[in-house]
This record gives sequence, structure tokens and C-alpha cells, in this order.
Amino acid sequence: MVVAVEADLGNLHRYAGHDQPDDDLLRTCVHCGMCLPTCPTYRLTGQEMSSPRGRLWLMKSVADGRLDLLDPIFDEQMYQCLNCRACEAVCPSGVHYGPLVEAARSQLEQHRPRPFWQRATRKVAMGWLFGDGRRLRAAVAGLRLYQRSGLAALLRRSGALKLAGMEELEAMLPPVSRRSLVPGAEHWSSPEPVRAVRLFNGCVMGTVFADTNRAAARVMARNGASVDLPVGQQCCGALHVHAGMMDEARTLARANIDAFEATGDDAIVVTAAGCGAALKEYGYLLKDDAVYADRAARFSARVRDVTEHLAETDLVPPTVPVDRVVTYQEPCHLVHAQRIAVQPRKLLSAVPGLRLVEMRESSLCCGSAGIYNLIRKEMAEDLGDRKVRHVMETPATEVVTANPGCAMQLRASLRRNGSRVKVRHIVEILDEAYGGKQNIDSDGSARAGAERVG
Amino acid sequence: MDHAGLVQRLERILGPGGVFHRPGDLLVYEYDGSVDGAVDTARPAAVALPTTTEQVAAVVKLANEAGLPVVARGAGTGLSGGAVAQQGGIIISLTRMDRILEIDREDRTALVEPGVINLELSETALPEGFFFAPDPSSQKACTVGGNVAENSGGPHCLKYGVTTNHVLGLEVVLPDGRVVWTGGRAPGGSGYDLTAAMVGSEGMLGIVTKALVRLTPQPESVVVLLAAFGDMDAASHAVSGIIAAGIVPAALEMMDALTIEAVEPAYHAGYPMDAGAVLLIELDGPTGDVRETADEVSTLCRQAGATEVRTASEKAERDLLWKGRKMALAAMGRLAPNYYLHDTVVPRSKLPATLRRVGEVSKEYDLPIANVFHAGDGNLHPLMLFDRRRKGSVERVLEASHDLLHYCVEVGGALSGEHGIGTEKRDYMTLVFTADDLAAMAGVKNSFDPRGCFNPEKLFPKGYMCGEVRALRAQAMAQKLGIYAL
Amino acid sequence: MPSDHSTTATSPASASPPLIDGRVPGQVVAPLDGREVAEALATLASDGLVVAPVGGATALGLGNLPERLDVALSTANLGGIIEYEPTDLVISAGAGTRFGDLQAVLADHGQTLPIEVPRLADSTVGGLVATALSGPRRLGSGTLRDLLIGISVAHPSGTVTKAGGMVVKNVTGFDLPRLYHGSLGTLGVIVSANFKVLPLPRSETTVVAGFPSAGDALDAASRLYRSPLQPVALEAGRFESGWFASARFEGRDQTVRAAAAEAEHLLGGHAERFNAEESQRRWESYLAPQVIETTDDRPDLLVRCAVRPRDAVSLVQGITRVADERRFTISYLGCSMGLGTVMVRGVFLEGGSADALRALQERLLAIADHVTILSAPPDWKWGLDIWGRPPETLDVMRSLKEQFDPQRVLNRGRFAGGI
Repeated sequence: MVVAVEADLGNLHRYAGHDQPDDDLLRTCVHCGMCLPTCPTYRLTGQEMSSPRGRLWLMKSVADGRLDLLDPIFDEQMYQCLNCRACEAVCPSGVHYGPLVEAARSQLEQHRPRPFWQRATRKVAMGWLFGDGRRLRAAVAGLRLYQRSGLAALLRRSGALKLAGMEELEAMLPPVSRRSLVPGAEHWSSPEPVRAVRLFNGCVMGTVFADTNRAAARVMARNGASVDLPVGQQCCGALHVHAGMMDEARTLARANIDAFEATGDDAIVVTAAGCGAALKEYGYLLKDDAVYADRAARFSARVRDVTEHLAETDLVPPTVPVDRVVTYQEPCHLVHAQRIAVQPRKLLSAVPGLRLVEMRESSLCCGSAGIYNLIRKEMAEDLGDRKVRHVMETPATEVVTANPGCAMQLRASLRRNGSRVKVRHIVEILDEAYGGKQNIDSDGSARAGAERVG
Repeated sequence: MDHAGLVQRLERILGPGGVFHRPGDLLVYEYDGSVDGAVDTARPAAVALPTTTEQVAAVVKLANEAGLPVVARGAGTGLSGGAVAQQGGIIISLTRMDRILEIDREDRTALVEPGVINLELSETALPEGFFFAPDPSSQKACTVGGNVAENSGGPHCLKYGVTTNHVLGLEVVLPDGRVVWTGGRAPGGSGYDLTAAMVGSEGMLGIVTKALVRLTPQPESVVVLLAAFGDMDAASHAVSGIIAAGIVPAALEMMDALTIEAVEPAYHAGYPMDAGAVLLIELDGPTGDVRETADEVSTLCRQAGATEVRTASEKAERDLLWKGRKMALAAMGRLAPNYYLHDTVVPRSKLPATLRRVGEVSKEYDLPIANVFHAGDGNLHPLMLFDRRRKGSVERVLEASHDLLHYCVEVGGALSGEHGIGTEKRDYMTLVFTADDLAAMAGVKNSFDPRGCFNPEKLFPKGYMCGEVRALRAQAMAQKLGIYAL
Repeated sequence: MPSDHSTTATSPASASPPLIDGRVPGQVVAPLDGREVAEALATLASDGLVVAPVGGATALGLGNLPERLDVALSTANLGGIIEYEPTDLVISAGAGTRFGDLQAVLADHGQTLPIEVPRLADSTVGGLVATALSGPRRLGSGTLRDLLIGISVAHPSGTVTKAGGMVVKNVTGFDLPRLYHGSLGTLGVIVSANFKVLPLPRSETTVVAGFPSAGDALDAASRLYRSPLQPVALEAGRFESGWFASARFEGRDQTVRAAAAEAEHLLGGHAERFNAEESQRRWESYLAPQVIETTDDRPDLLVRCAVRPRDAVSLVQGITRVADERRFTISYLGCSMGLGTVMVRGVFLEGGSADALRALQERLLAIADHVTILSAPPDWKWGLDIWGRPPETLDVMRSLKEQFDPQRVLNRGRFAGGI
């Protein structure tokens, strides 16, 4: 009889150290398979190991000593996962998949030998660049200079980007906002604010998409809020959690908790779905931290996605017609991780003139998934192309989304497929419907518009 | 042929991306959706992921040459162990054959590959005004190929029938590797109805590589009624009353108090928390018919003692009422970490007595059992709730299951309404069938698959297919008849 | 030995032996129960004899010429309702049960088995399952295959086996009931069968419209087929010397009335409405020409052609062309819209012959997927496979036959491919 060669299981590596996949959590999976069709990597490959159920079985196998933690298959699958959490939203048994895959990655980070150069780049990119807001703003300033100086056009023409393998990365980047948004430097308010909102800036939103954050602030101010950005806030740490770099993530989380604590119970509003999901999970991330556990839980309870926040308020009807057709791409970390699906659509339906046409598979991952599109180019492109196909089946001239990663991935995918469809953040559409920057003075009689102070 | 040789040959057929053979990769093909403890896991020697019928045929021929069993697999959501390679061999995973090849308005048919997801077929047919009627609870994930293999049902099969009523033809790879069509677009082909034999054959007779299925026109109007009762007896009487009045609802589902207790706080579907049982009754058809029938059903429910009857005609309202039913299994996690789900069917008139027996079994074994099921066709789904970590709990569940299955068979029921026999219930087959009955089924198996290489160790009781048992049976038969001298 | 068989028939069999394609079996046996059937079959098998199961003798002409015929096995003593629980909507009846009797019992409880074939009342349960004949109502209610949930069968191995059960939803074991359906008694003799039954429709109406030509009738029926209306039967063709299109509706009063009005409008032409019993009588008389001749040598043919539903209209045109070419006069033509079957009855102008029949079959096979010569003078069937083209799975079918009836005791040669 032909049988597969058994691996030598005598001397295998098992989970050890901190952040092990929670065994009870792991065993809530009854391998029913309901998650399969929601998983982007399963949809593309049709293979069981690339499904949430398969990955959980691999994690369980490592826990049971049936698979080596350092088996290349384990590494491959834990990192092939987009961590889009679509599986969580449909799981009949309520398996918390995200924390499990993150713990599995943390185990790999701790125990896997990596080549020196890989460690160094990760350290620089994840630790140094995203570890501090100022460093990132400086880097983006360089990028802005690159885009505006003509160097971009030159390099594009010369083909040097292609040589450097940077073409894709370059294509993803939207025109960078003129000025980064620096916490403490700007704030907005309605003339008679009824609530205070503390905006979470985010690395990419606060720099590349700083103008989107400003638009969000204007829209909230137009709806009765005073908006500011507490000083001392840092990157949310989502990228670090996704990569299994738990220690780095916890450091950032503590800094953010410290920065926002002084503002009481005010809502912490986020414009990036990825950041929002991470912030809402600080309670879990720091559950074993004696000093921060409770504070983290309180922090998480305050966090709202901007669409969630706006849908909770009595929306002032926008009056400027936006006569266009749009379709909505649901960011995974909004629809799956935060289960926010109705609110964005409700907001879009409030915009006069706007027609929302739903695309197929609007909640299937676009392939962005944090930095996934950089490290798993082929799979990310396949997902991006699939998404573009669905967008192009609709008559929409714009895709609306609510996460910077998705925005960049969509932009690159659309461009690659020769589409002229634009990508917008939902608050930009709302801002436009409220008159944009002009809305400060647009309604002289009521003076109810957003006011930028200082 | 050693393992390396096998892999090499498979890769020649499927390309390197179409074959899995490393131990770690094979780990994830050792299970399906069935419950641990009721079905053993088993690892194949290799997994093939074909994209064409020709590849499937080539793999089957190779398996024959290597003397290996072949197990076809769809999404692996089955609940009876049908997709587990009990004797190892090659698993042919059909998930990459997932194209809807044709939707024909005029013929009202769809031609699909086996890996197409059930619900996606219905969604694709929707703009044309049709749907694919079989709707098993796993319809968001399960494949049409799997539906054909298991003859899947679902809540709406009360009115529309099960999978076999909707399959017109199949392209099949036979155990000798030949590709043939059974049935087809035109009715009335000559010879035996091999399509009928294929549907529900649990992958033991052939591997479906294309299915021609019937599409059903969308009804003009749909209404869902929620009726609450003090106890399950009253609800059962309402069910009988509706049927006796000559009404065939599209679906007729019952949930008991324990289920409501789990479901309502989770989904706020609006089930009355103090009810002993609720019925969900879906009616569909021409608008006028539906309206009149809804009034009639409502009256019948009240006559049977319903404390409340609500009617939902808007889609959002209907979906909410259904959500509680469809997510009932999910909500059980609130009551216990594990459950074991049964699939017995009893004649509708035996429902009240059977439900009482379920209650007794629950007490005898100190095992909470929730009832959420297709009352219209007597298809029970008792859910035994337990905690695997408690010592002896699995054994207790299996013993209680044994009692329950016995009872259901005694009152004229069947072991499985829609989940299949697989390995899970194979040893219970002798409760229902005699050795002669099984011999007739074995005759079908032998005509398609004389070597027994397709999905071995399924459906027939353990040891049944081996030569020794067959010889003994033949001898016994001869003695009984006294006509053959062996 | 022949004398053995007659001893198994302890009750008087039908007075005269039935005529099967012009042959008279040497003996008729009428066993009293399933076990006796099985024993009789086993004995016949050991004696190397061939048996033809006989029910109501309403369709005995169906099949190839028997290769050999020794004994007729009548199910006359296997009649009667075995189990009926109206609230379960299921019924179990012996193979010899007259369908008319069965329907009467069901009707008393407001229920029905919605199938139609010519001479339905005199057909038996076993015969209907074995022949798998169906009528226009297949469009809305399916065939007996869709309603068959359990079966008991006697085999030449001397055993009686059951499959399926008395519940409407059942996947316990292979689906043998449906495999026996339409097997023309070549795998075993059906002893009893269980069915899912349906409530009688509250109301029914049939709309019939006459047309000057085949094209007009087919166009009208196609129009109705593509409309949102959902008739349970929709036919177009030639009946009683004129072209017609006809639709049958069932359901609640109001809806049926509204649908009928809409259908009249869609069909155009000179439409007429038939309600309740009138409607049923109308369909009975419409089905009468679809009868399979069993006793006489009338030189007319009944042929069933089938294509995918969308090609039904062009099939009718094709059949008309072929008929002209083969000098065949069509007296009756029924095209089932949405099903793709066309039933044709007619005679050859020059009286016909085996060669003429063979040529007609060949020509029809060129334009249809399936062609079945349901009824023809026995002399013409010599050497002909009335089932048309052999299926590509014939070897699997032969091996099924080998498994169930290795001595070929049952209806030898009568089934597709000479099984």
C-alpha cells in the first residue's frame, strides 16, 4: 500500500514562550467548513490548507505534536492568510480566528530562524519607521517631494522603477496630501459643539491621506462635534499584530492608551478600518498586562469607526448634490472584524444625487490586507483583479471604501486593469455633500458649518 | 509504485500545483464536517486537485493501476464522514472545478461543474428569475457535487423535493476511468435510470464532473408565519392540521424551548421567550393564493392552541425570522461547547411520540437535547449538547444516539433524511435493512465498481463487503431456499 | 418443472393468458405474496425459463420482442393498500393494486398521486413504476419517480428486498426505488411500492385554443411557456382533426380563474375553458391516443420523441417533414412544452412494414435525442430496438442485469440494448 512518508515527529518544535494560540479557543472549531467560501485565499486556490478551517487544523496539529511548528507548510499558511477575518463573521461556533493566527505568527516570530537581512528590514520598517509618528511623517515628506518634483515622472519613464521592483508599490500611492496632519496642531468645531471627538490619526491616514482625515473632521464638526487629535498618539500597531510582533504592538498600544486617557470617555474616532479593528482589540492584546489590562479594555470601548460614529448621530442632511454613481468596497476590518456593514450604506444613502450600486462579493478582501500586497504579490494581484472585475460590472465611476490599505490596493488594481474608476474614502463623499472646505462659511444664516479653529 | 512514484505520476497529470503529498498538507484532508468521535479521521496518500474532467479520469486510471482507493471531495462540509479517506489512497478534491457553464432560461436548467457552491448557483440564477431548490443548511459553503453525492435536502424540500428531483443528467467518471453521461437535457433516455442511482450514492459509484440541474421559477410572493405554542405537542398538532387541510407549505420548521433560549438572545429574531415551541411556516406561490393560505394557516395554528401568530411578508422581516432558524446551530455554543446533531426521519404522525422519547432520552442520559427541525417532513435534528472535556461525555452521547436511532427505526423511520450514512451510521444499517436488502445495494455497487475502489468503508456495515461475509450469506440463502446445491 | 409454478398460484389467475407482442405465455402464475413471487422466480431461474411480469395488462406492448417467453407472472394477488396514514401524506400499496382503486382511497381523504397515462384506472401500481410512463402533467408535478419513496422487490435469487421507506425524505442507502422505476421488470418483480402523495388541488381549469396551423399552435404555447404563468401542463399539437394549444391550471379558485383568463388572452385564437371534472375528462380523452396497443395487430404506430425543451418546436417541424418523406400520416401529435417530448400516432400510407418502421426510426433519430417506438405491430419489431439508440452506459446496465438477474429470467430481451 502506498502511504505518504511520515514526518519525523520525535524531535519537533512545539509552541513555547508567550503568545501561544489559546487551546480552548482553538478547540471551539468543529471543522464544519462554513468559513470556506468567505476566505479569499481559499476562493483563489480551492485548497483546504489555505482555508480558515485548514489553518486552524494546522494550529491544532502543532499543539497536539502532530506537526512541527517550523514545518514550512505552517509558516507558509500562517502568513498566506490575509487576516481579513471574513471567516469570523460567519463562524457558527464563534471561533476568534484573528487572535489565533496572530498568536501563531508570534510563535513563528519567536522561534523561527530568519536570515539577517530579513530581520533587519523588518526591524527598520516595522519598528523604526512605524514606531514613531515623527519619523514616518519625515519619510512621507520625502515621498511628497518625490511625487511633486518631477522625479516620479522621470523614474517612471526611465523604467528604473521596474528594475528596482518598485513599480507596483509606486502605482499604489495616491497623490500624497500636501501637509501631514500633526496631533495637537489642528482642530475643528461646530459653533456650539454637543460632543467632543478625539480623532485617531493613524500612520498612513495622518500622512498620505491627511486631507481625508481633515474631511472627516469637517464632517463631524458639521454634525455638532468638536474634533481634535490628542498629542502623543502613535501607530495603532495593527501591522505589528498581524506580523506577530506582539511586543512592539503592545508598546504602541500602551503609548496610545496614555495619550487618550486624559480625554475621559469621549469617543475615539478612526478613519482607517484596520486601525479601528486593532484599537478595539487592545483589551485582548493587553489582557495579561497587570497595569494596562483594565485601561486597555476601557480604551477599546471608546473606539468608533467614523462611519459608526456618524451613523449613531442624528445626521444633518447634506445639501450639495453629488450626481455620480458609486459602488462600495467593504474593508475587511470594517465589515468582518468590526461587523460594520449597514452604517456606511446608510451614510451614502443620505447624500443627495448619489446612486449606490452594489458590486458582487463586496465583502471579499481586495488583497490589500496591511502589507500583504507587498509580500504576497501574486495572490494579492489575483484578488485585486477579481475585485476590479466586479467593480467594472457596475456602472460606478467611483469606488468608495473606508480604509487606506484598500484604497491603495484598489487604485493599483484599477490602474493595472486600465480602468479610470476613482477611489474615494466615504468621508470625502460626505464632505463634498456638505460643501467641503467651503462649508465653514457656506451657510451664513445658520452658521452651523464646521469651523476650523487655529 | 512507491509514494514518490505516485506523486510523480500525479504531477504529470495535474502539474505540480495540482497535487499535495507532504505530510503537513495531507493533515488538512483527514477530516470533513462530521463530528469528532463519531467519525474517525484518516489521511490520504495524496490529494489531487483537477480542473478538468480528463484530469479526473486520468487520476482514476492511475489509482486503478496503483491499486489505490479514490475518494471524491467537495467542500468537506458533510456530516457523515463521506469525504474521509478511510483506507487512504487518493482524494480527488473538486473545488477547482467551480464554473457555472450555462444557465438556460428556456430549458430552465443549469450546467455546472461539481465544485460550484450551492447558494452561488441560486444567486446566479436569480436575475433570470430562477433558483436551485435544494437548500441544505450548509448551502453557503457546500458544493453541488456534494449535494448530488449525498442527495441533500433542506427546509424547502418539503414543497420542492430533494436533490434527486432536480438532477437531470450527470457527467460521471466511472471507477474504470471512463467518462460517460447519464440522463441529459432531453427526457426519456433508454435503459436504467443511472442518474437516479448516482444521486445519493455517496461517491461510491462514480465521480460527478458535470451536473445538469433543474432550475425552479421564483415564486411571485413569499410569506413567513411565526406561530408560538405552549408545548411541542400543540405545535405538532398544528403541523398535522395544516397538512390535513391540504396545504403544502414551502417550509415548515419547528424549534423547542431550549432552542429559543439559545437563539433569541443571540439574534433577536422575535421568538417569544416564554413559548414551549415555535413553528416557522413559509408559504409561496401566486400572491392571491399565498394571502388566502396564510389566513387559513393562521386560523389552523390558533385552533391548535397557538398563543401568538405573526406574519412577515417583507423580505427583511422574513430574513430575520429565518435567521434565528438558520443560525440555531451556531447559537448552541451559548448552551454548551459541543453538540452532536442527528438526522433521523419519522412518519409525521409519529412526531409527538418521538419528541416525547427524545425528552426521555435526554433525562436518562442527563444530556440536554435541543430540537430544531423540519417538522413538515418529519426530519428530526435532535442536538445533543455536551462538553467534550468532561470525561465520558462522548461515550454518553453515542449511547444516547444509539437509543434514539433504535426508537426512530422502530416507529417506521429512517436513519438519515439528508446527511447520508458514510462511516458515521454504517453500522446502524442493519437496524433498517436485512442482509438481503443490503445484498441488492451491493449488487449496484458491484456493477459500477467491481473492485470496490471508490470511497471504501462507507454506507455498508463494517466488514460487509469482504468476501467471507458474502460467501456465508450466499450459503444461508441457498439453505433457506433449498434449491441450490452449493 | 412447469407444474411447480402452477402450485404456487393458489388463487385463480386471470382467465385467459395475456398476449404479449403476439405471443402467448405457456403458463400464468399469480403468487399470493412477495415470498411466493421470489420462490417462483428462483425456480424459474433454475429451470432456465423466462417470465414476463404482468399487472393491469394496459401496456404489455411496450418493449422489444421477447427473446423467449414461458410464463406470465401476474401481480393480481398482490393488490391492496398496505398502509395509509393520510396525515403523513404517504401510502403503501401492493404491486397489483389497480390505480383507480388507489386514487379512490386517496380522493376520500382529499389526496392524489398526480400522474396521468392512458388507461390509468386499470393500470397497476407495479406496472406504472416499471414502465415509467408519464403524461403532460409532468411539467407541474413531475413523474412517479419524484413521488416513489420506497419499494419491495422479489428477485430471481429467491429473495425479497426492500429499499427506501415510508418517509418522504430518506438517504438511508442507495436510491434503489428510482433505479427500479422504468426498469420494465428486468431487475426484479415489484411486490409493493410506497409513494409520497399530494393534496388534491382545490380547483382546476383547462384552457384550450384551436389554431389553423401547427405553427400558430406552437407559437401560442411557447408564448404562454415564457410568460410568468405556471401551468401544470402545457400542450400543443394535433388532436381530433385540428391544431390546438392547451394549458391546465391548478390551485385556489381565484388564482386559477385569473391564470385561465390570462392564458386565454395569451393563447389568442378560439379559446374554450373547462373546469373541474370537465377539465379532467378533457385530458383523459386527450391522452387516449397515447395508448400502447397490447392485444391487436392494428397497423398504427405510437412513437415518443424527445429533445431538450427549447428545441421542441423545431422537433415538431422535423417530425412533420420526416412523416411526409416516409409517407406516414400523423393522426395525433402531442408536444409537451417545457418537457421536450412529442408523442406521435399515425399509419404508413402504404400499410407499413418492418423496413418502413426501421427507416422511420432512423430518420427520427437524426432529429431527436431519444426515439421510443411505444407501440407497433409485433411483426415489425423483429430485430428492432424500440428504445432507440443504445445508451453509452450500456455495459454498466448489462452488469446491473447480471447482478440482479444473471439467468435473464425476467423479460429477456425486452429492455434497451436487448437486456
